[in-house]
Amino acid sequence: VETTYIFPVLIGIAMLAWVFINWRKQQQAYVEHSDKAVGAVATRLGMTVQEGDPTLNLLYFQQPSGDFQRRLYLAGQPYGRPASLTVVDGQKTSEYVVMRRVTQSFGCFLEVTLAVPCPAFEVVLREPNQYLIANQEFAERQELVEASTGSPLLDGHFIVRAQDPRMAPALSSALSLLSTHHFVHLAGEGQRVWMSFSRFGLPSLASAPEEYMLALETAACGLEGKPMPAQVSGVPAPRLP
Amino acid sequence: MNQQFAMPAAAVPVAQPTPCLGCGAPMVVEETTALHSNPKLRCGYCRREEDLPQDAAERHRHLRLRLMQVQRARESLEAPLKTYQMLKSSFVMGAIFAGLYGAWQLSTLISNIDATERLKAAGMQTEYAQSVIFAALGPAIAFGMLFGWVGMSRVFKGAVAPLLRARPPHNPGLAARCRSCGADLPAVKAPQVTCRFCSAINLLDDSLTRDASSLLEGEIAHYNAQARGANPDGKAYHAPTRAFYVWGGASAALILVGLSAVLFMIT
Repeated sequence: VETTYIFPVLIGIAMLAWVFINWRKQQQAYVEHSDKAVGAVATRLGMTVQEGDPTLNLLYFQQPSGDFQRRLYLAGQPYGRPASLTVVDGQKTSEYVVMRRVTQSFGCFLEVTLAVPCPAFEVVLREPNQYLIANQEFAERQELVEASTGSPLLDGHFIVRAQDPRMAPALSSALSLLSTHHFVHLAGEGQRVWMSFSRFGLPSLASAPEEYMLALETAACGLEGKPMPAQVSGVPAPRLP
Repeated sequence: MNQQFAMPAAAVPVAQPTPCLGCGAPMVVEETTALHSNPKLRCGYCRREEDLPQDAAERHRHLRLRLMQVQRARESLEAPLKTYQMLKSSFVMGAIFAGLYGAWQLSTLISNIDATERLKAAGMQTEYAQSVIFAALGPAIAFGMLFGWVGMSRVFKGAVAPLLRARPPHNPGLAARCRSCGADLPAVKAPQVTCRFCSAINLLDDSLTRDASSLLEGEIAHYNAQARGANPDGKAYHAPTRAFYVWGGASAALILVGLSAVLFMIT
């Protein structure tokens, strides 16, 4: 038999087998990270899925092809306080005569409600990873000034901007909890305190939703002057390896 | 001056007894997976349940949070092993593919030996060299992958496997401990066991009992090194993947040169 014809067939079969094995691996990865599916994250956060597909995996949050619009909404009271997680994602194509405009939208917000209103503030990492830069919603508000938490370590790690600089020390316990994370955005105004996550930051939330929720609750308790949900030292945890 | 510390007696965890107020039996803290929920004290005999006091619940949450942070830090440190696992699982198919490709190239060269002979004519030396080297490339890649896998496995066994081994028991008869969080590991008849507290996979072997004292000394030295700010394990998890490329690349280059020389001589 002419080997010229046998080997291309064998190589084709090997390539098909490779594709199949990779597909199996992807399925195994979904099983391995099933705790990052929306339904599992809701359980971990003490919430219930109000809207959206509970099987959608937040670690492998792939965009469908073409135009789409999807919204996930989880709500509950994990620490006795109303809390929610909202994820909106979409793509819209507008056809013009000589051009086509594709608009992509994404937003992810973990938020809690305060019993008392608070002045506006926003916290981000001072030196974030180049791919994990948080969108600063209050970046253009001039009335927010950089404030000190009272801890040089925390001040070296985070940029805290607040309408009332006196409120920054109340956030120190929450920031201590967030100091081991590579994606941090914490903001508040009125009766809302929230964290927003970029598309690249979403896997951070999916990997440690309880820790972000605890930090958010700690921030809320600090702003309200209530006891913390966990004993937090108020100094940043060491940067684990 | 850096101080060296021995394992203090307090490092051996001792659980505080919690007798049930109803029947006197020992109560256990019911495990809870979610960080927001407060665990309860439960009696396995009279089914009595009690809420943990607020400060105890806070402490419990604090400790669970610490375990989560340790788990996240460990996963981050061990992330390079994902590449190792991917290489290990893809290696067989990759080697088969490269082997088939190489066999095809070689067989094509040999079955068309007359055409190769014609390439020896004056002015066609470049085409001749290309055809020979191209035929040798596939087998070189296949064997390079094979030797890369051998090197990777050796380095994993020598440099990484000891890091994944469970901590030995403090005393004979006690349970082995998790390498990451130090919790007692369940007794299993298996080569590895997953910690129920921090999900770390711990390798088990007979050295845990045979070399217990030297492993305990090594553990203390490791903690002392960490306390001095050294990170002795930092590069070890990258080593298997690096070994695959170094061993694989070097052996593929050698095989390419050697096989090309042989083919030049044959043709």
